[in-house]
Amino acid sequence: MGASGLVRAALATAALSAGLTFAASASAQSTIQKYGARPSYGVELEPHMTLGWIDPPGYGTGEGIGLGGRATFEIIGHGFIPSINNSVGIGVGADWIHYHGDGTGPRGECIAWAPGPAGTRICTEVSGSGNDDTDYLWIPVVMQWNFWLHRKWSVFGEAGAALRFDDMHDLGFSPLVMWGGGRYHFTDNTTLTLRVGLPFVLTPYISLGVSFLL
Amino acid sequence: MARLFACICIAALLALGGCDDDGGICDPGGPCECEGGNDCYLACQGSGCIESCHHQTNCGGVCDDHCRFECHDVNDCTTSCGDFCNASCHNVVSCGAIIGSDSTYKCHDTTRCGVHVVGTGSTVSCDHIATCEVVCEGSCEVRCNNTDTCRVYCGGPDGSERLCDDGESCGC
Repeated sequence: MGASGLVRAALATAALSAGLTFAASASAQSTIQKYGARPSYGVELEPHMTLGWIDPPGYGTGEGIGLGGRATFEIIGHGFIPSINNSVGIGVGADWIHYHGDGTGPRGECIAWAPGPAGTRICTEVSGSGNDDTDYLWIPVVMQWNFWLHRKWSVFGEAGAALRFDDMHDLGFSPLVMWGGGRYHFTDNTTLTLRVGLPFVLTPYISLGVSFLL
Repeated sequence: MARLFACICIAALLALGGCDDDGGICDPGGPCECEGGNDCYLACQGSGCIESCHHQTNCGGVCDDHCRFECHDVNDCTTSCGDFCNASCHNVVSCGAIIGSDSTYKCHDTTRCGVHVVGTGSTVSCDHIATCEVVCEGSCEVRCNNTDTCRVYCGGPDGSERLCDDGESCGC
């Protein structure tokens, strides 16, 4: 099983385990139907690790790892569903990811051209290290919809768009990015936060960090 | 619960972190591929490289003797290879190539195909091309099918010009 397979298996196990465990103990401290039973905050600051778990959208292949952060500002305290404990925020982030590559994309830039027949021009020399390492910088802006399930747990979905610097120099744009995530609340205002990008909308990375609800 | 959540997260991190730490070197005989993205150019030194480009905006490869190169589904594709090269370019806007002696270059389903043969004894074929131009420094064979214009220059870019008819095997 490759790294991607292991990650998918781990995430599936995570989801299943968390779901089962949560179901068993949730009812006593559930807050989903208690409006206001959640941390009071204006901004969530979240430094995190980033993990590219599928190929990036442009240059590069394989899995990547990096660092980033997210600031999410609460804009609607009582969210779109009046009967449950939910809220909405706007988040902006910056995430850097380094991809080692898997050896199938050694590439560089063409540094010498020769004029060819039929108006073509032909690359005759390529620069670069001969490997397919690359770096990405993502700048997502998303709407975050939170569900405050439990005194210790909350989950959220995020949708938005992102600017990208592919290979740290080519500006790209992802018109739709989406994440699903969850928080474990160490304290009311400090959480362990996991966010998983949804591959079907080409959001190719996961983040894991600590959130401070300020 | 906190421990469970932390363990799951750490397991996911370990699963990712243990992989792909060897980078990628484009070696003869090994995979050497550009796929997806904007511009991508491959370099491979040594005899027997295998390069491919596809689904790029612009792409190209530089390699030595006994090189195999395939390019498709890009805008502009270029190839520069040594002797005994076997290259193909198809379903692109333009193909440009410099090839050495005893090589084969196949172009099909493109708007423009321009090939400069710097050696002798090479063969270039153009099929379903608007403009196919081949410059041969030495002896060469050119085959055109379903091309609007098929032109061969013998002896270099400023050499004598020949127009080849469809289906005719011509060259220098």
